[in-house]
Amino acid sequence: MKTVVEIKNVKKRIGRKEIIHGISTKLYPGEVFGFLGPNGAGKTTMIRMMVGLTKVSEGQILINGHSITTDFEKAVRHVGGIIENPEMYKHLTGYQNLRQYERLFPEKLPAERVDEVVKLVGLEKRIHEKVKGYSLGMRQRLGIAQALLHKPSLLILDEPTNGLDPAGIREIRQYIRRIAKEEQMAVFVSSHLLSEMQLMCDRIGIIQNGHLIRVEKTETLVDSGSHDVLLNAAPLEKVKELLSNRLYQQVENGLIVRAEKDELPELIHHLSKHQIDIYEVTPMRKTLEDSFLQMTEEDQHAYTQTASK
Amino acid sequence: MHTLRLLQNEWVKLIKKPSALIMGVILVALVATLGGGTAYFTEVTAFWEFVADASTLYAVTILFSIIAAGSTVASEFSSGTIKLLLIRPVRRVKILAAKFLVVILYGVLMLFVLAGASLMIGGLLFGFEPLYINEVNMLGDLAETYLLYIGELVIYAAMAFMISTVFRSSSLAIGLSIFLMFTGPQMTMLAGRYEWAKYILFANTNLTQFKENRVLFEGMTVGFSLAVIAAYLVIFAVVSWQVFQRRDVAV
Repeated sequence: MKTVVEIKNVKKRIGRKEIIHGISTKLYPGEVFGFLGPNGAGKTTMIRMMVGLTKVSEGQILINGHSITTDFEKAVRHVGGIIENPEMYKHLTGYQNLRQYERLFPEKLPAERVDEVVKLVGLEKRIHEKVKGYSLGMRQRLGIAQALLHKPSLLILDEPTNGLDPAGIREIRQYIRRIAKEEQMAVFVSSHLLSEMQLMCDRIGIIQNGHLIRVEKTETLVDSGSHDVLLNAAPLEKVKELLSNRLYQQVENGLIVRAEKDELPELIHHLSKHQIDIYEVTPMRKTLEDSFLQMTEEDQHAYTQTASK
Repeated sequence: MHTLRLLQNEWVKLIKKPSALIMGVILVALVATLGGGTAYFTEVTAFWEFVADASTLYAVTILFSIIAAGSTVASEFSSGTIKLLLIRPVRRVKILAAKFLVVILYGVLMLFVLAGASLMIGGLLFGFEPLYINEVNMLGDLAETYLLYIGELVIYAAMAFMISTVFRSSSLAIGLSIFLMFTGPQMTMLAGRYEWAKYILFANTNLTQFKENRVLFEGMTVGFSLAVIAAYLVIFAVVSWQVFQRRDVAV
């Protein structure tokens, strides 16, 4: 299959400190690739290298076969993106902002392309207003418009749903999936929320402390362990005693217990039989931290002892 | 031509800032105040005399150019727009050059505003005078003076531009440049007894010293000063370019 991006053993050093330790992966047309990791894991550094904002210390990043280091203009020609927040010139209108980016391309884009992307993100009505007055959602959409202006084959979105309301998040998510398939574009999305990634991505790569520790199809990753439930019951001491043969950790509003779905009824019976008052049993929406715990700390003792965030 | 469109981009960004217009208005207001004061306090003032007096307000245009130069790069960093600017298929040096040229263009425009305003206001207050006085083309003479101002403007703008590019702080760039603009010539005086003092940038920035025959150090010529300015300009340009080219953008 054709590759859009090829990342070959990329390292980044700042001073003497190495913060990205040899990452390699490939992206294909039409797929949404999630880049998942806690804050500070190296997501943004990796993205900055992919768009040439930061130099690659070692290794290679090829976009449509062009190296971002030695062939910057040709490589970046095929990239569109939002790096962190979509910062625009606030004293200009949305339209004037887009014209700025349009003029930065050496080969003239078709005259109607700006209007096209404006329509695509649904900003027609307010495009001639100053960006100063835009809501975060509108800025986010304007950000996507500038990223799509030149029909890139790689779209890079750094935390695209940051600060959006649920409706906005859903909209962006659907939108990303649609354009990836329709335009056969590779989309590289970063986030620290697995729950968000699993709805949006075809594949997910997990980055931790500058290592890409795992790349999986989304289904594989999500299935591998959504077995935690939040249990809010009293008296707590007795509950702990009854659960002593299971893995659990205490959190603010109860216990997080590891249990398979079909084990749950039995568990609840067991507790009620011992006069435990059960207030809440909720399947945990797995956060990245949980995944990490499972992936990196298989030791039972460590699991039980680790304080929740 | 792509270069032209890059210039257009920078021009739009600069000129659409409210401050760009305000600075022009301030300049006209200053000329008007000078005109009003002159008309009120002096009995007879000749038109060309006033125009020459008003031209000393060029220091204000340099100030405005320093402000524009000091913020053009730094503001892209502070607003975060630099990230969207540098991920386009354009080499960084081109963007930097476009920014500098537009700042100079803006400074020159301000000089035109100053000249235009002083001619208009002078004419209205004191009545226009013929173009030739004692067989000297007064307008040509004025143009010559303004041309020398451009030299000074370019070097101060370049200094602010470099500081702004290196430190990514517009307040530092503007503050330091203005400080040097006012204290530089004095410090040069202090160093005056040394032979090398004439190589100090500030000994050479005031190019009108040659026109008025008030040369700071004996033996200095226009050619010498222009060469010194050019040398400093090259240094400022190379430092700005190298720092900007190599910088890891992490804002």
